[in-house]
Amino acid sequence: MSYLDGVRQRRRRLAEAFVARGTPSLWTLAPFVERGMGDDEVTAVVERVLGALRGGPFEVLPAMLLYCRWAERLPPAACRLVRRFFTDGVLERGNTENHWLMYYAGNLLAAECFGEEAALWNGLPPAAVHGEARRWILGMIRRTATIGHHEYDSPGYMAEHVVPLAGLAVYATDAEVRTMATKVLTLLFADMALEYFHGAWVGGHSREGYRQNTWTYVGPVQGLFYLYFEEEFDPERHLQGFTCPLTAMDYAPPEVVIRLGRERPYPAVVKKTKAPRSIYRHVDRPAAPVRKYTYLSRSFALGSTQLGLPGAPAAPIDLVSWDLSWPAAKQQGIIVAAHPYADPGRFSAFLSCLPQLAERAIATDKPYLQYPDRLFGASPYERMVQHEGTIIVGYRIPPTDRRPYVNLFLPKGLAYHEAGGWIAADAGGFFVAVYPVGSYRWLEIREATRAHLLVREADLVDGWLLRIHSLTAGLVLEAVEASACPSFDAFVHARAAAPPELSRWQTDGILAASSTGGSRLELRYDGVHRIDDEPVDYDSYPLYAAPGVTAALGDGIVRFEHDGEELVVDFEIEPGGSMLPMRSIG
Amino acid sequence: MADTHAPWLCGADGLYTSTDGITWSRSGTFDFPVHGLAHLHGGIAVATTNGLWLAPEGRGRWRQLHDETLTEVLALIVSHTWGIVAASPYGIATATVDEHGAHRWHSHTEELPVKQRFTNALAAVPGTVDRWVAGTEWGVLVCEEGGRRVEPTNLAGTPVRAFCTAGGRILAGTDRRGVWASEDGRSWRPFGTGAEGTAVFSIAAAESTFLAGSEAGVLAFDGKAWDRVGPRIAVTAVAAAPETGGAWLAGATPGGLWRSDDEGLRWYQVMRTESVRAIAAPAQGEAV
Repeated sequence: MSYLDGVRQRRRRLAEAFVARGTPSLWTLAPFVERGMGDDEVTAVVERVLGALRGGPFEVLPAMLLYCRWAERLPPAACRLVRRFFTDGVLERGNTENHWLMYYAGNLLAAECFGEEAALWNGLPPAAVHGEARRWILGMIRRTATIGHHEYDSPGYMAEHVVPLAGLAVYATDAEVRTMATKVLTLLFADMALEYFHGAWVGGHSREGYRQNTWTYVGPVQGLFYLYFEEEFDPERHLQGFTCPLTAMDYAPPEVVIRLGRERPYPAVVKKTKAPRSIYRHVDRPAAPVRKYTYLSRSFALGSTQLGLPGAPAAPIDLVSWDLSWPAAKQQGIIVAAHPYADPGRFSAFLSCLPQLAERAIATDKPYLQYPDRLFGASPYERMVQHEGTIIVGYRIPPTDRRPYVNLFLPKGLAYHEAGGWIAADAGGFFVAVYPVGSYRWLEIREATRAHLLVREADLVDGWLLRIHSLTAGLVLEAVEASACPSFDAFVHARAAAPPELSRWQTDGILAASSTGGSRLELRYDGVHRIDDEPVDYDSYPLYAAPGVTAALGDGIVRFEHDGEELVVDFEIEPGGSMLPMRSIG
Repeated sequence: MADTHAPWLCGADGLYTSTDGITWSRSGTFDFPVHGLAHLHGGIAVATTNGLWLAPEGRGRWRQLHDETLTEVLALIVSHTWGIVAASPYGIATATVDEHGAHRWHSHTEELPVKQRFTNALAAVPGTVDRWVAGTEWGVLVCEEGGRRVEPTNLAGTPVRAFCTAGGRILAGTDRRGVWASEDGRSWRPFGTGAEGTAVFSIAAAESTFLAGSEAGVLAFDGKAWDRVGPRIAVTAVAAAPETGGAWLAGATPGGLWRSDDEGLRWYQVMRTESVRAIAAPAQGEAV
């Protein structure tokens, strides 16, 4: 079966699964309409979501995707409701990049479909609404092609980028919007493919919050992996409502991009540059570009990030900077650590609410953002250097910090050994050893979706929690393929014989360690990082550097090559042209 | 010109109006968080978390005044020369109108350091033509030439979140450095004592005094010192209307809208909407 035939087949299967599950939402209504749902039922769903004539990106986009696909089959009452939503509604733009993309994509499509109206919901004529949406969408695409995606590599929110862009690529009548949306979709799928690993998305993520970053398979991106990366169907993973509109769209990313993820030679190093974080308060300078490094070995993946943050209290709240991942059951395939930085300034650094009121305002709705056991979210005091399967992470936490410790998560499914300060485990295909820097306590972490009275089934987080109580906490971790070592005992022995170099960490901020393969990594806190005495030049990172992909920063030309097949995506960026200013968070 | 028929305005989650300052009703269906208000001919310019809007007289549909570059609008003033001047986390912006009647915004402080760019408050300097002061996370900046020329002042090293212009001078509210005053916008001096232990979010002139809305509640100025009166709420908006019986209004985040009819001795809630971020007394409205 050809790639495209396979995509079509999986679209149908996914659509059927949504219908079989029942209870349609505006996001999942399309397959029900296609399969002959009654007019009254269809109208009832549309009425339930749009009837109040107010909504945000999560209503604006699916309303127009449904209308564009099935306007001829929708009952007239449902069509009138959609139109009225866009002429008489109160619509919100939201504040993240995916919000703005869904909002502007929906508004652009509405301006095209309802162009004969004198004014749309915001009192402006459709031409003005279209013009604003077009400027933002094209500006966002050019920015992504030039300096990297802003809300980068998010398992939770990539679907909310792909779906609106696919909607534009398929339904927009504006030819340039269609073309550019198609191009940037190729880039976003490349982002996924380069770090696609046995059904998971490994490496650092701009947003992987909501206490799911110890899971193996996270977020609506799983629906995209099923549709385009030929996963075996698993309803629990793949039935993601936000991806359902794709089942009704004739869109598929270029096969060569998908093959980069599915047919990768191991080991592979992937380097990416991403747009700086949005920090607009409490600091003097803006953030620097984000640099990602991900090492994919046959049995595991280790990814890390140079965040470019401008200093405390800038610390994006959903960000996951590094982790070790491998194919395993839920909560059994991740090692990750975080300083659970809790200064309220981390909220007001990128949200406009008053700093004095921000913590209560945000953490009342999302209390887990301030939990002491938190395992996600950036810390302004975290630094790291990685080389292949080895990473050093170091923290220098001020004495006044609310959380003078680091949380290290270990899965319960491994049997651990301790030797010379290293905690090692045989994970089957590979061996891993982690050395906590600082005194630690071995605790348990259990968090549940339903925990009104008791945490019975710890479905959110369930594992060992090593709390490293030190203002200068840190860790060294190494993972190696089992086939590269004579035995697990030999690996443990080798690690125990080579402790990290800690003597200058307290005094000079220098933490170093050697891998069992003989490479020496040196982390100078706020200084130069070195691998085998050579400085690491993060500024030289291109947009992409990975097997099969080359792209410089700034010129908007990306080359893909795999197995004799070549694809060049040229965004035709004008040299020296102005860039759309970043106004959303993420 | 002053519009003495203007009602009380209150910015909460949506725009609320009142003729007596006691009974309030929401104007229109929009419920965006409102941070600032200004009278225009034909309506009220409303600064919100979701952009800038024109709320027409009566209950008509709001009209969008922002574009894709103007996002959370925290304050605004109306200039005879430059039209609406908008303050946001990304700085100060003015607009032109395109062929479709849509506003296109131009940021004038994009390149400033991050703290100087984030603008909480704006005020016109009395007796000048288009000189403004901008209350930023860094302190006060003086802006001229439509925001193209920006200079620092001696009120620096603290966020400035509020201005009040009265009697030929400007008062500025800071975070834990009290209230400051200036005649020309460039040279600032402390104005009274007692507000240094809190953050001042709003300032208003009352009949014989000044009021400050602070993290600790309402502060009333007795000529020398700021003294706290009323409930211990975070007062993010404060107003007084000497012409309409001397009522003091205080908007809290959270806590709703409170009123005192006896110069702060007793307070009562007149609107229990969660958060109030802006209040304009009837005489404060100036239509341009």
